[in-house]
This record gives sequence, C-alpha cells and structure tokens, in this order.
Amino acid sequence: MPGLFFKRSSLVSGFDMNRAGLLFALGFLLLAQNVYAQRELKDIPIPHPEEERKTFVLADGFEVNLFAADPKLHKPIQINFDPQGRLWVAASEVYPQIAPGQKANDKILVLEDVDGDGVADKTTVFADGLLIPTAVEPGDGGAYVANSTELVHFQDTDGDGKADRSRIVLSGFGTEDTHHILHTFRWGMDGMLYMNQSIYIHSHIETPYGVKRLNAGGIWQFRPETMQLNVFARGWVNTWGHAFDRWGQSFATDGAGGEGINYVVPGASYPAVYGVPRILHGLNPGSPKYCGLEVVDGRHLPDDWQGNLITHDFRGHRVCRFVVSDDGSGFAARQQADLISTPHVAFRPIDVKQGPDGAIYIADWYNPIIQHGEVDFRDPRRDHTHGRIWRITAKGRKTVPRPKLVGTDPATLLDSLKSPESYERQHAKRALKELGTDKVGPALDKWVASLDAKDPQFEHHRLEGLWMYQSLDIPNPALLEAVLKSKTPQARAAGVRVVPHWKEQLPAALTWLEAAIADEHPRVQSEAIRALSEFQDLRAAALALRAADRPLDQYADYALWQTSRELAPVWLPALVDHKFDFDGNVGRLLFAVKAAESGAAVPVLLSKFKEGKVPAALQEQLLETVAALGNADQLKLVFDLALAPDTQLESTATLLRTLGNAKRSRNVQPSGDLAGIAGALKSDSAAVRFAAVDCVGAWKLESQRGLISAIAQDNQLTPATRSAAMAAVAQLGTSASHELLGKIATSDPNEVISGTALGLLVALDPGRAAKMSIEWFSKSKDAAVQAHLITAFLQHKGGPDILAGALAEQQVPEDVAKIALRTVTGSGRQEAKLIDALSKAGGIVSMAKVLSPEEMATLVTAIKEQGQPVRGEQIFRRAELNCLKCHAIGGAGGKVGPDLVSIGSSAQVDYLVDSILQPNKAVKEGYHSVVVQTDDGKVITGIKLRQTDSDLLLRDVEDRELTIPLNKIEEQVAGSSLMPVGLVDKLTRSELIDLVRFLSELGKPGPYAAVTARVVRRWETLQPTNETYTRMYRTSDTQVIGDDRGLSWVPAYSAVAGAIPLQDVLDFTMKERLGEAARKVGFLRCRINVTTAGAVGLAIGDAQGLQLWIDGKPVDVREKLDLPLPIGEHIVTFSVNLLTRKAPVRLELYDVAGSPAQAQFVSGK
Amino acid sequence: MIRGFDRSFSFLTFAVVVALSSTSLIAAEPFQLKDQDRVVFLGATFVEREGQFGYLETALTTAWPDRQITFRNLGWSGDTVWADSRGIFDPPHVGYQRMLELVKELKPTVIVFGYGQNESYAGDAGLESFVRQFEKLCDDLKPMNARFVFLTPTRLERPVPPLPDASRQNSMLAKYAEAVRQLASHRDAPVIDLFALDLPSAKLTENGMHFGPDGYAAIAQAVRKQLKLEPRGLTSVQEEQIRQQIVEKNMLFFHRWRPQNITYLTGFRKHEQGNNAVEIAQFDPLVEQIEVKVNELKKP
Repeated sequence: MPGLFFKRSSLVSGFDMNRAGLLFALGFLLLAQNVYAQRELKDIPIPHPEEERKTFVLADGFEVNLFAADPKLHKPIQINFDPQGRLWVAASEVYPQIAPGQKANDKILVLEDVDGDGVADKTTVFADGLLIPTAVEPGDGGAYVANSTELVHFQDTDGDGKADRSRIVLSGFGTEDTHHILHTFRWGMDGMLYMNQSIYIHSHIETPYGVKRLNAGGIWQFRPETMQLNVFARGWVNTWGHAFDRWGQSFATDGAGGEGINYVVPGASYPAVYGVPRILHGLNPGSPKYCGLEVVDGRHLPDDWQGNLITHDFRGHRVCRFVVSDDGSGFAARQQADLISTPHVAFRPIDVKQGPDGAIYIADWYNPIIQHGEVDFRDPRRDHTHGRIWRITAKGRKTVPRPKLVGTDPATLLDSLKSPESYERQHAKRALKELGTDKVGPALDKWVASLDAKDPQFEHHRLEGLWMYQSLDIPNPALLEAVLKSKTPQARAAGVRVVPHWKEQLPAALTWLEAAIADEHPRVQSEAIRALSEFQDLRAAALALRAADRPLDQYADYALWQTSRELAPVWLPALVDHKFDFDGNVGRLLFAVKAAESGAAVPVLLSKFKEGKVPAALQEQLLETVAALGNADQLKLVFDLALAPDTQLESTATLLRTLGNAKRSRNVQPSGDLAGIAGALKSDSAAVRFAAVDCVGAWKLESQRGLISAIAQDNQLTPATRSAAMAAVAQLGTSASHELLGKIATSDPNEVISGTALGLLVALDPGRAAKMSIEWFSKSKDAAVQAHLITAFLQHKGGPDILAGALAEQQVPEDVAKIALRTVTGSGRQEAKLIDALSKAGGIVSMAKVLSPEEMATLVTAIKEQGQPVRGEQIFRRAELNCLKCHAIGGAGGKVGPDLVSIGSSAQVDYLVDSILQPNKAVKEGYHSVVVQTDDGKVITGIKLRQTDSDLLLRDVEDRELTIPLNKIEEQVAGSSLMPVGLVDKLTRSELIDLVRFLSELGKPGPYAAVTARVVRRWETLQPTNETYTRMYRTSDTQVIGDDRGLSWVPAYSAVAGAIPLQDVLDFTMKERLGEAARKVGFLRCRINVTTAGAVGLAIGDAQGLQLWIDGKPVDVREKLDLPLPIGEHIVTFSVNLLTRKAPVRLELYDVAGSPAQAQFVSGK
Repeated sequence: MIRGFDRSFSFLTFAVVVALSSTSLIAAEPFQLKDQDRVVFLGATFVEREGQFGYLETALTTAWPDRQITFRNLGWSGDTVWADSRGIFDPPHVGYQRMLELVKELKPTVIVFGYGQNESYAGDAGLESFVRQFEKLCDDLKPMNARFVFLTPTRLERPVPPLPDASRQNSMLAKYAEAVRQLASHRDAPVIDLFALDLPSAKLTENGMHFGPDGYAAIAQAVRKQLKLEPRGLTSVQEEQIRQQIVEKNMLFFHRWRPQNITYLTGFRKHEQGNNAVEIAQFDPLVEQIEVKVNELKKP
C-alpha cells in the first residue's frame, strides 16, 4: 500500500505545528493494524441487564421489562412464538466462525412464562450440538431450524421438552458468510414457510422437482409437506426482516441496505440481485440499516399503533416504528418516534415479535461491536455469552389474555381466526394445520358458512377462512370466488394471490383474473398481473397486457414487465407466427416486446407500422424499440425515418441516440448508405447534432470526417458538443485523427478542450499522449481536467506504465501530482509504478513513520475529548474535501461510497480514522471495486451494482451507472477501494479531530441521529453564470424560474439537522439598476414525487426572506401550505433574500388531514 | 407407463438392471481397497449426507481392518458433473477447476464418483451431454493415476402423499444409471450399483429421494452384500464406535475444505479476515488424530 504523499522539502519545516502533529499521527496510523483489536476495550459496558435497561428512552406511554437474560440465554439471533405462547430462540456462541478444536454446541432454547407475569421462568434446551443456527420456527410437531448448510426439523417425541429426533429437510444452503446464512423464518398466511438468505450465499437444493438454485439474496417459499420450493423474491444484501400485514402483503427490511421498509411484490427483484436487469426499491431511501420486522396490532396497543411496523436500527441502538399506508398498488411507510433509543453501545435489537399477551418482544443480541467485515473474528470484544429478551408494554393498558390454542377443538380454534390479534390468528392457523385436514375440514366448512355477513370484519374473517383452506390445501373454488368479489380491495388482492395455487382445480381461473385485471384498485390489478404469470397460456398473456391500457405506477409497471418476460416463451413464438398479437393493441404489444427485449418481434412491429396501425402517440416509441432490438436492415428503416423531413426534431434526436447505442451495446448498425447523417450534423438543434456526431463516431463514417472535424474545432459551440465531436474523430482512428487531436491538444486555449483531446489521444497513441500530457500538466490549472486525463491513462490497457515511463526524469507541478495521485489511489487499482513515478516527478514522498499504539490511543482520546462535531460537520461539507461527492448522509449525496447516516453508531473511532487515512484497510460490504478489461483495450473500474444475463452494471467513481456487455469483458478482477488516499492531507490535526468526531456522532442519539422528519435533504442551487445574470437583469425572477432552459443548477445538501445553511446557497449580487434596489439573492429548488394525488402539506416554518414557486408558478409563502398536487414530479423553487434572511432553509412534508396524497422528496446526488 | 409404475414393472426393471450390472462388474476386477489408499468421494447430496452419517464409509473402513485407508468426502448438495454447485462467486466452470485442484491436493489413489441423479431431470435430451461431461471429468482427473469407482444413482421411492411421487423419475434414472455403468465398463472400473441394490421393501426415505441414518445403514448393508465384503468380526457396538468417529472426522474435514466465511478467509474480502485463514489448516491434525483412532478401533 502506498502511504500518504507529502512534499519532500516541507516534511519538517513547511508545515505549521498543527499540521506537523497531524502528519506524525497519520504516519503512526498506517502501521496500527494489529493493535486495532485491543483498543477501546475499556469502553465495554457492565453487562448487567438493569444497567442496560436504565439507559432506554421509551416512546411516550410505553415501558419495558426484562423477559429473559443471560445466563438463561445467550446471543439470540431469531425469536418466534409457538401456539402455546412459548418463545423459541435460535442462539449461537460459535458465531462468527468455529475454531479448530471447538465443539459446535449452539442451541435452540424455549423460554416459557409459566405464570404469565411477563417474565420467563422456564428455559429448556430443545436442541444442541448445532453450528450457528440462525433461524427457528416451531411447527409440524417440532421446530424448523436453519443449521448452516441445512434446514433441519427437530421433534420431541417423548415429551421431555428436548428434541430426540431430527431430519434434514433441505440441504445445500451456502455458508460463504455466517451473517448471511439461511435466516428469518416465517409462516405465511398460505401455510408456507418463508426463509431468507443474504447476498453472498449460493444455494443448491435438491427437491423432487429438480435442483433449485439461488445465487445471491432472496426469500424462499417452501411447503414442507410437498417439498415445493420457490423463490418468492430476489435481492437485498441482508433481508433480516420479513413480515406480513393482516391482508397478507409482505414487507422486508435489509440489515445492510439503505432503503428502509421494502414492499415485496411476489417474484420481484430488489437491490443487489443477481442476473435480473430491473429492480424495485424500498420505500424509505436514505435510511439506516434495519434488522427484524414485525407488524403489530391488537387490543393491547393504542389505536394509532394498529398495523404499524416495528424494526431495528441495530447500529444506532434504536427500536423504530413505521406507519404504512396505501400508495397506488404499493405502499408508503412513514417513520415515527422511536419505540426505544439508547446510547448503550451493547444494545443490539435484531429481532422483534408480538407475543401472546400483545406485548412487543425484542431480541437483544447484546454486543458492543457488530459484524465481521470490520472486526477480526477473534477480536476479544466480540461478546459470545450475553443476550436479552425485552418486553415492551403500553402503560395503563391491559395486556391481552393469552389464548389457549393447543388441545382446543377445531370449532373453537376457528373462532380465533376472528381475533383482533394477529398472534392469535396466525397461531390458530398453525394449530389447525397441525390437527390436519380430516379433523379440521368439516369444521372449517361449517365455520365459513356461519360467518355473519353484517360483521364489519366479515370480509377479513372470510379471507382467513380461505387462507385456512389454502394452508390445508383443500381447494374451495366457491369461497375463493366470493373472496374475489369482496368489497374490500385488500381482500380481493389477497384472493387473487390464491388463484394460481389451485390453478389445476379452477376451470374459471382465467375468467376471474380477467375481472381482476380490470379491477379499479391498482393493487388487485397488480396481483392479477403477477398471478397470470403462473399460467403458461396465450390467454393469460393477452389478459395481463390489458393492464398496459392504464397508466401504471412503479410496482404495477414492474409486475407487468416481469409477467411479460415470464410469459414470453408462450406469446413470443405465437406473435412471430402471426397467430397472436395482443388483440391488435399496439400499446400492449410494445410493452410486451420491450419487456421481453426480443429482436424476433421486430418484423411484427414494423409490419404494424407499415400498415398504418400505429397511433401517432406510439410511433416514436415503436421506432425506438425497433432501433434497440432490430437487425441492420431494420435499423436502416429507422435511420431513414429519423432523418425524414417531417420527423420532429426531438424524435430525430431520440432515434439517432438509440441507433448509436445499438452499435455500442449490440454491435449492430444500420445497413447501406448512411451519408444522409450529414443533414443532421448541420442541424440547428443541438440535441440532433449531438446525437448525429455520436452516430458518426460509433459507425466510423469516414465520409463525415470533414464535418465532425469542423465541429470539434468550432469554438462557438459548447465544450460538450466539441468533446463529442472529438470523440467521434478519435473513433475514426486514422493518422488524420491523431493529427487533429494533437493539434487541438497543443493549441486550443480552453483547457477542457485540450485536455479532452489529450485524453482521447491516449487510446490512439499512448506514448505520444504521455509526452504531451507532461508538457500540458506544466501549464494546466483545472484539477477536474487533470484528473480526467489521468483517468484516460488508467482506462487504457498498459496506459499507467506508459505514463510512468514517460515521467522518468521529468517534473510535474506538485499540485498536479497530488491530484494525479489522488486519482490513481482512488481508482480501485494497484498501480505502484505510476504512483512512484508521479511522486518523484512531483517531488512528493510517502511517509511511513512507525507510530506506537499509545500514540494512536492519544489521537482517539483527543477525538473523544476535544472534537467539535459542529465544526466537524462544516469541514465535512467543504467543497474541496469532496466528501458528499461520494458519500450521502440519509440518502442525500453520492452513492460511490456507503451512506454515512449511522456510521458513528456502528463504527469505532479508530475504524473511522483508519477508513479516512487508509481507505483500503477495511472496505464496506458492497463497496469493493471491480476492475474490468474489455475486448477493445479499455480498463474500467467501478462498484458492482449487479449483473444481468447480458450486462455488468457498475457505478464508477463519478457516480455514473455504467452498463458493460458481458461479451465484451475479457477479464474481471477484484479492485480496491475507490476512496482516494490523501484526501485529508490539507487538514490540520484539530480539523481531523473535529471531522472524525462529527462522523462518530452520526446515527447516535442526539443532534446527529438519523432524522425521521420528511425534510428536503438534497437541494439544487442556481449557479450565477453570466448568462443567468443577464436574464435576471432583463426579466423577472418568475420568468427566469418559469423557463428553466440554459440555467445551471448544482447540488446542495441540507445539514444533518435537516436545513440548508445559507452559506451553501450560491448568491447573485445585483447592483441597483433601473429603479430596482440592489439585492443579494440565491435560489434553491427541490423535487417532490407525488405517487398518489391529493393535498400535500409543506411546512416551511420561518418564511423570512423567501419567495416560492411551484412548478414555475408563484405561490404565496406561509409557514404551512396545503397544495393539491397531481401524480408526478413537481419542482419547488425558493428565492432566498440573503440580505434579510439569517436562518437556514428547511422544508418538510406533512400529512394533510383527510388527504390520500403520498409524496416524497427526491433525494440522491 | 410412468404413472403405472407398479410392482411387477419395477421387478422387471430390477431384473434387467441386475443382469446389466453384473456384466459390468464381471468385466472389472473385484472391488477392493488397498493399504495406504486415499479415497476421495465426489458427488451431490447422496455423497454429502453419506459423510454426515458415515455408514458406507464405515463398511469400507472395516472391510480391510489390516489396511490403512483414509477417506475424504467432497460431496456437495445439488451438484452435477458440471460442478453446478461449486461456482460460489464464480461460474460453475471455475468451481469445476477448483474441484480438480482440490482433488489433486488430496492425492487420491481412489476416486469415487456419485453423479447422475440431478442430471437426470434433463431427461432423454440431457443424457448425451451428461455422459460427455462425465467422461471429461474422468479424463481431467486421469493424471492423478487414481483408480476410479462409480456409484449409480439411488432408486427413488414413492413417498406418502401429498409429497410428489419421486419414483416417477426412476425410468429416467434407470437410463442415467445404465450410462454410468457403461462409462465404468469401458474404463474397466468397478461400479457400486446403488440403483440395483437389494434393499428392504420398507420405505427408507421420507421424501422419496434422500435417506436418513436408517437408509444409509440399509444401503451400507446391501453394498456389503453386492461387493461381497466380508464382515470382520467386529461387534455392532464396535462398528458404531467407528462410525461415530468417522462422522466426527468428516465434520472436521468439512470445516477444512468448505469452511464457513470463505468470503473473508480466502475470497474477495480476505484483506479483512485473511489472517484467520491460518485456522483452516489447523483442522488437518484434528482429522488425522481421528484417523489414528479409527485404525485402532477397527482392529478386530
């Protein structure tokens, strides 16, 4: 590893005392690796449960008591209740890794509160001798246990409470990472066992239906009695939470993802999935990581807690609460005040279940440190013995009498399905299931027949009955049909999901689904779309695509995309044979073809087009689809149509862009004579010209060299257009190209242009480009272009060594060398030669001074005792440190590095220091780079987002998503961190102390806790360019804001507390002119995405000095505004009078009483 | 035919199979393990779980009490001759290469292959490519100069409904088993013909396809008969002691060759926990200690 880089001459004398002190500290840190484990042991709290409980801050009206603790249990990983009301615990002392000679003796424990006083008074070891059991779910006369590679069923046949019989049910689950292994067991409403696995796990399971494989994260769905095993949903990093609401809809949380509550569409894919091109996202982007999930309800809890979701920010020591509400076919989830928060570092809530008494039970893994990525397996701070179960109750409210569900006759048990408590309903279903069909079937028929249609809960009771039939697998078409006709849409949606389960026995299935596809409620329709994918049948395809007639929200659109793909083996051959065409509806046809990405369907599209059957509104989309999927001759048709005189300019640009992409992604270009592109190169439309230039390069049209060379040299055009033209010239790739690029590189006064030309020359003639670059560096001023040029060498195979060779005996300015080194060390690559050459050429040495652990400890102490988080946040936000370019806090900022929203609550101070100074020492899950070499000699580095069957998706250091076709990849190797070394070398020691202190506070209770309020975190501020000044002087603010064209907005971020400081608002200082007073003003804007229309509440608070526009139209500013907004994205713009306003600007969403609206601020970079 | 798989039919198939298998057995030299043999098992779930129950290994261990024989079980659930279960973070072909390397490191003198069951779900259409890939696997392992032994897939049972009738796969499995016999025959290698075993009529599986301890015990008994392995004067208690040691040894070896957390120990996050990879090799002496014990225990 390279060290940090410092100017040789200033090593001792050139720095002030503070800086020298910092250097000293930094040098030490580099070698502090092995002592790391020993530090901070003094912070380990006293493990007495009461010491822990005293620190808990509870939500108003709640209290907590200890239900059970070590030594009665240790390290609880999953908890689940059984119908007797006993709590089953999967517990592991061996975690994370068995040691040689250690006996695997992990346990399944059963905790029993015999006298019902809310404290466990009996512990039974049900099973032992296990190896890291990560899940337990009682059922089928025993319990299902995740035991590393296996799903095992244990039974106690002699009634002594201890398992005496075990059976491997399934085997072949991966163990590549023990915090990812099979986990989170749940019985579904349908009687199936849901089981999750995490991202690094690769499972290969033999079943009587063949081998089932899942290579990455996902949720399995398993019916033990038939051994049917399916993948219910795919993706996520660590889906450590999965729960069903009372209507059977699934929600999940991700213990290493940042999107909060996920609404799970059956069969869909979520972030970090493998092999799927399109994914859905969670409901709360920018969240900390959540573990465990439970839907709570029942008489013990207050009304506003009914149906709430409880999960854990296990890093931030918080038990969190969300309210879920309908949003189209999906849901919105709003965070509420925490149920528990505490500064106690060992409180690790990881699982949650509501108990038979209506109380909320929390499994506390009790550990001052977490996970193994960051901490050595054998770190002595890893706690292997403690663990607690906490019980939370609402003060002054009666707990629920514990229902008797075992040894009860079926008729009584069935009445439990009407219970207001989901505990009772769920466990009654389990008890009934275990009684078996013979005993329960007749009673169930009777029970359903006797339900009172006037009961307000009738439709839910009837649905519970249907689920009971499904659990027992007794087909009941009449009941299903009745449920499908429920007045409650949630009941209809649940009914639709049952249809494919009995598809063999339901002759009317497709007729029912036909009605569901036309259902007025989007969730019913969305369920029908997914249900139809289970019918490999042309009629099912025709019905599903009817949904394309209506506007679809993101979940329904995804569902239809997926169903279109899953049914493609049925409809595609029929379409190609002209036997089927979605009832002649071009909109449906286009949706399906785009989803299936099938070139075979292109002739059908073109024949529709030629026959004049394509509505005008769909023509561009159709041609774009042809361009994206067609062969050379078909692309030529699109090319000719794109350039036809009556084609709209926007369409021309879109189609040309798609044609250019077809060459790059599929290596297909239009056939025949393409000289007609010349017209587009001369177009007045910048977009058309840009796209045409791109095509000329992609297709290597030598005939157009003259035109694109002229564009490349035309200094009246924007740098973007000129750069595109230079790139096209480079792609023509002859000596004439070398000459032109060389000329521009040496003569153009604009550094962006000359630097771009040099960068392009690297691929053509790296030796010459290297020599010229050294010359260019000596004069250049623009750090961004310098970095770009270095990147060009990094991206060319062999480029780094060629540049290193050329640098020998040469000099570059010190500042350039620093930028270059930062670029190289932040590239994820190991380029020792180039680093050495740049260091020598820039007169920079790496300093590797050995520091003792004591001195490291001194720095850590200073951070804790002297660090000022307020100053640290200001340092973090400084533009020159570029922190937010790669790291978001709560979703606002870059995505190249991890979101830092709760970093302080999970990472120790020494880890934070190390991460800043030695980015490669420990790299977060999901942030390892890959270095990809393509067949055209390019070397591309980025963070792997996911891989589909055809492409690798990377996020590069510039935060762009890159798609690399797999067939172009020659080699793919693991790279290092994308965080540059030396980012903080300009900070003083006290600044570093403040910065780390700030980071260490993030996510801890206090002013830097994750904010639950729905505030704008990511803004844009208007850049004061000359053109904008001119427009501001000539017209009104409203006119400037109303016509966004030509304005340049740059990202700006709220501080952690939720408001944007005024110094981050770029200002226009306007002199007094034509009777207008002088002013100093800045503009801020943000976007609101409305997914269900209605009145949206905007809380502005202090409105001093603000003016407001919504979608470009002025609106009076008040402290609170209720705005009726339609579905779609809306822009909220403020002008800020910087002479009168002193307070930072904050904007928060609130719910307007009675309004169905669902809205979220758009966050990101 | 598939649905009507009744007793008389199965009897007929059985007879044919026995006839075929005896030919192949006659062609090869009688099965035996020699002193200092190192036996490596490759295969899918049947082989993997045999490692956990150890009955077959016990039968082979005790058949030659005077010979020092060691066993290494590399079974992996769901595996195929393409190493479909062994890719981990890489495609299967990379896992296949890793498997070859691992076998090489273990320096086997005997390699026992247990493939065909999972592959049989590809039906008639998949038979040819199965044989081709199996031949490739054998060829790739040929430089080891180990003797090859082939297990045919086990016969599937008809379990209690609502479990699906796994035995519907038997007609296809019969073809894959026959392909394995022929492959063995032209390589002059012995077959342990699990498909043709004379097993008790009572059900040995719960799901029709995977055996529990009783199933493996019955299989081991039948294999003894098929291979004419003489009992060596050990009491059943002694045999059980040996088996328990074998199970323990296989668990230790499992931690050795397929350790948990490989992502951190040897994989792409080894920069974080690679220092703990030293522990993996520390299982070797533990494995060997048990083998010494087994050699003592099996002396009659």
